[in-house]
Amino acid sequence: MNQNNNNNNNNTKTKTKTKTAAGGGGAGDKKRAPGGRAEDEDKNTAAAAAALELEREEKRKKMQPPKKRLYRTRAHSNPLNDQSFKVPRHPSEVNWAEHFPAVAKNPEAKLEVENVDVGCGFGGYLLKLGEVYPDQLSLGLELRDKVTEYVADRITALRAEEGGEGGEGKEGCTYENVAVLRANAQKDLPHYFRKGQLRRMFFLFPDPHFKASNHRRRIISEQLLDEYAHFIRSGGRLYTITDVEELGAWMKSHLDAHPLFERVGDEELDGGGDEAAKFLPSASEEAQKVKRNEGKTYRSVYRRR
Amino acid sequence: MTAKRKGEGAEAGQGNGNKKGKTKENNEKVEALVDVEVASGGGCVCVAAGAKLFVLRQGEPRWCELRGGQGGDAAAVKCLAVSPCGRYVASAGNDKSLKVWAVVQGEEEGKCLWSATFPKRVSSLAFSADSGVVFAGDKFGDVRCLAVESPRTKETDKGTEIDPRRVLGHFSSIITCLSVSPCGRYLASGDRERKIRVGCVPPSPVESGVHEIQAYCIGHSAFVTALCFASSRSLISASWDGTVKLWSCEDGAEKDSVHLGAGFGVDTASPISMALLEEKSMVAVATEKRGVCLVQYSEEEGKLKPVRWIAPPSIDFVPVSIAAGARGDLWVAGCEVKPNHLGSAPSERGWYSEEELKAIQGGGGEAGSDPGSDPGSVLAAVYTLSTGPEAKYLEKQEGVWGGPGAPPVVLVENSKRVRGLQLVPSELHKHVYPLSEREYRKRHQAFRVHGDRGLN
Repeated sequence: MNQNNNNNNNNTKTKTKTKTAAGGGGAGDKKRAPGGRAEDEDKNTAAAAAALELEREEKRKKMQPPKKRLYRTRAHSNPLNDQSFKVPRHPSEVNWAEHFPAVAKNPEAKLEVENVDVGCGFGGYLLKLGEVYPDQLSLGLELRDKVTEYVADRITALRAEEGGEGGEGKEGCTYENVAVLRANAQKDLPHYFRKGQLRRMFFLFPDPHFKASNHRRRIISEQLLDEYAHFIRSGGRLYTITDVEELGAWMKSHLDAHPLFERVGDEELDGGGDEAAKFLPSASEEAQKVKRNEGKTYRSVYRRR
Repeated sequence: MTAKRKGEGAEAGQGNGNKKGKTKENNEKVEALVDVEVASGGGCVCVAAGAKLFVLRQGEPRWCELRGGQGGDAAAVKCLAVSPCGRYVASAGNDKSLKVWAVVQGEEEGKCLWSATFPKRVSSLAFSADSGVVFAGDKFGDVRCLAVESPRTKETDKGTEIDPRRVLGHFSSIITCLSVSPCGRYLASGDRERKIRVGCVPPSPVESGVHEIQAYCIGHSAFVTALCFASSRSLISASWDGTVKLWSCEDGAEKDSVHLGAGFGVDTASPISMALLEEKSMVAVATEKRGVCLVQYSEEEGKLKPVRWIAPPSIDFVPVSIAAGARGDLWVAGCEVKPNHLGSAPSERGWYSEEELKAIQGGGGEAGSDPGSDPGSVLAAVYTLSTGPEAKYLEKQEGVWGGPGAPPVVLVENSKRVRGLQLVPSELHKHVYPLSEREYRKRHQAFRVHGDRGLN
């Protein structure tokens, strides 16, 4: 039994070592004991010290960024399904303090989401938003349960990392201003946001839905644009980017035809006035994939009239 | 005829779930959808029963039937609207068509002005405040509109066809009800996803669409079944969750909400149709299998108060659709189940008890009598109601179906195979599978093919 335990311990040790060797791990290379073993040791040492150790252990565990392969998921989720998760009855019933605990404790800060990344995927761009706009709250919406879980764990890990020591986070960024929600953005936006609440909405590398019969599932459509225009305040912006030429043209034509949006020219975006637009082709996981394959991207940014 | 076809359709729909399963017996009883509608406007009342349309013009004693050129094989009418001016009737059928009829006396009396084919089945209709435009919401969540006098057309291979333009859309949800405010500025649309969207209607919606959203009215916990504007600032909605709510349509704030059953000892009462009695500051709500309830509203205080239930005229009458008449009276269309298996006098309470419901719903089935010898039918019936302090059902309208002696329209011919009456299409209900079943349905082909047995 004891031997077994030891073996286990050894295993975890080597695992952590390989992890750090791979460069992904943010936690230190100290040995990680499983919870059960830590409790055994409690009896021998002083209670206070053990508690402290346990606390550190917890923290270290939290700081471990999650591994993507443990969150395997299907590539698609049907947005037309009757959802199996709970949707708040009214925007006022959403407990934002639960998602932004540190911001909620600060009486001066406004607890209102202003940037929304619709279909945030594994959260690369969402975290970038947190860094670029430290004084605004950013929210990622994702329909796939496992992916949402991954992003939530990733944010928890980044928050636990104080000052970003050696982890993947940016120095000086606490990531208290980003959160992720499992939601169907096509159906349930009115259950989360109020009129004119949002500054920016992002639709990055959305599902192309090539088949004509599936075009109604696309995230940019005439009907849904009305809804987005309702939630984006006047002067706010809607960002889209894709690596599929057909979808890029589709999004551009629909946005051009919509009376409540006007196109923001490339000169203005590239001139450096828009921080968010700068990272569109680079920050998210999908964007990096496209970059690796040296694919072309099609970006369109629109302003709410 | 239509009703029978409907029954078969319902059965086929059920069978689709487990195509290869063969778990359903061929003679399984089905729920029959009752197709009766009543609508009013500008003093004109229109009733649709099955595939037939009847209209009573203002000041005329007799009903007259609206007949299209298509003859008797038209599909059942699913929804109906009368223009505020009382000159037009719009009807939408099961065959994805929308027909607009002229009811004015003169040359065009009772004629079908035009008929348009929609890409999806129309589920709700409303006229604009000036009667110039008709809005039609469909099964896929789109609201399209057409000018009544001169609908937009396009050239196709088959010749010139009427081309309905999409003005707004709910994301893949069935539009259950539409309503235009008396000032004509707002178009409210309720859907299966519990939302009510209040859109700002531009002066020419056919050209420019209804893109600007004034507000979302969020708060119901089931699909919305009926909407009406109390004024240009307030909206009243009824939902399958058993509540009637009063909203401010400028900001979508919920002012008041009442449970219809509360205070009367009724546990559940699901509204299916609603009519506004503006002079009395009341709405009349027809509920599923529970009768009609009057609800008082006060716009200034933002309050709603259920006033009374109206006792049904006979135990076998089930109200389905309700509309306001010109003189503060109400029109109720519903169905009668013959023969009546309970045989007792109607309840004085004003709503049906569970036992009575069972007896009415039982049709030829569980109610105790021998179903084999007694097939039974479901007939369409129309009543008028008074709405004063002693609100009650007045006389049954015998002359609707073409004179006093004419037989009523049979909605379900042989209720031997009918388990119950379905007053709301089953597609509106959400399918909630338990988690385990959901996972299995996803992953196991065997489950899909054999149902529960596939798991073992």
